[in-house]
Amino acid sequence: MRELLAGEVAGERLEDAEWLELKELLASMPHAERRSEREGMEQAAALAQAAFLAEDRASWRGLPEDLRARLVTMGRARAADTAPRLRRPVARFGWGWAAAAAMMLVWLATAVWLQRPQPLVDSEAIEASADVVSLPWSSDIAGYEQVRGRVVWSDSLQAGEMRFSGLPPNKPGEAQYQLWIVDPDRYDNPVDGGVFNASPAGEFVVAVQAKLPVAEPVAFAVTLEQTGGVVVSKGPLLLVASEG
Amino acid sequence: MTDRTPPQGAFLAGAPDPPILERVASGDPQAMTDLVDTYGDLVWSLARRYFGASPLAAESVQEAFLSLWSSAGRYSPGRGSELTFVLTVARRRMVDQIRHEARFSDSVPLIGDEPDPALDGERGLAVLLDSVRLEPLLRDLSEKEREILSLSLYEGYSHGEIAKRLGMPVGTVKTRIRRSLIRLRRGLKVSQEEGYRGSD
Repeated sequence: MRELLAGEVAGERLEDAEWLELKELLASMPHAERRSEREGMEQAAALAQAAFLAEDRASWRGLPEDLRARLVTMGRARAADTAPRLRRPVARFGWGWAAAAAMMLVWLATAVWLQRPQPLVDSEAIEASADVVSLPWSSDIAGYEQVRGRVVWSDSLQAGEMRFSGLPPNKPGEAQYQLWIVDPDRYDNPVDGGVFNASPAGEFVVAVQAKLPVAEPVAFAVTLEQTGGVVVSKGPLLLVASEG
Repeated sequence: MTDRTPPQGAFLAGAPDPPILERVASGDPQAMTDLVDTYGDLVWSLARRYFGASPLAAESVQEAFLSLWSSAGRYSPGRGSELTFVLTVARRRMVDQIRHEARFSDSVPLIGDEPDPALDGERGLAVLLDSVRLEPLLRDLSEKEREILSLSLYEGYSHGEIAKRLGMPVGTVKTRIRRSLIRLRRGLKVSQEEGYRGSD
């Protein structure tokens, strides 16, 4: 497992089979151990990079003044704008409608190259998983308030599914629903959870297709996008399932 | 020129000074500037070595600071120093950037460009890099292992590029990088455990 993890952290593009193997091996570990393994490997790579820089004095550079000024301006604007949301307890549990409505969903760039086949996991296995989370959908968007159902997700299995009833049918040739997964511990932007169509008849179930490994997601959101999904969504967030 | 030299020793785990990231997480506007002034030269130097003259260097630095601002609340001194956290986040963004740009092809790396005019951060950088003793980290690696790891982690070459440059099979390069990194990880873990024991 460590060899695969080391390869991934070093920037190697793992073969599909290796990537799946790594994903399964990590999924079989307790969350704390999984995090520690990845974090430790990332720290080793980052410190080694710094160690090489320390030895290579000729490559030391001062941050250009224009870039510094831009960063400082951005940082101060961010502090003024988002200070309350940066505090962890709020960020973690208060992912409510105010933040959700203002949020622009940006599909992670890495998803483009990390798209891999997903192992199929059945509903029973997900529900029986020790770390399963189950969150109900809610909405205050006209036409979606009646939607019922929930999303279930298991970190250890890296699998989940969504149940819906009353979700307005889409026209598959024109638009599809897209799931977004919010995992703030690992990613700055929501992870693409796949596109799907609404069944016009009764309750239906859709498998979550997370494009990147996800750990302890704090929220899931559904938008309606052009067929095939989008890289950047302007929303609105039609449905949200969150801890807060 | 402004003296942006950070206080020595502030970046070690368990150091008494309050980490900048804690202030960033609490929304302190001055902390945003402090973070840029303390780590900007370091992150920029790494990005320049990785991306050379490409605009990706500035983009990755910007991405790194955006990430640091948003993830500052997740920093925990018990899991490593602030410097380690900054380096880890910055490296993650560089790797993301390079993957996004599909530079892991057989392209020619953008290294060996003209120097930046501004070098006023050098003194601060020296203090920063001296604050963690990084040299022992690489001590157990052979010359060849160091060379391969440096080309990969520090200079951003793809495995294919390294193989071509050193006249080795790609599989050998891959294996050596993986194993060297595992060894570094092991050494780091031991030194962290010793450090914690020493600080008891």
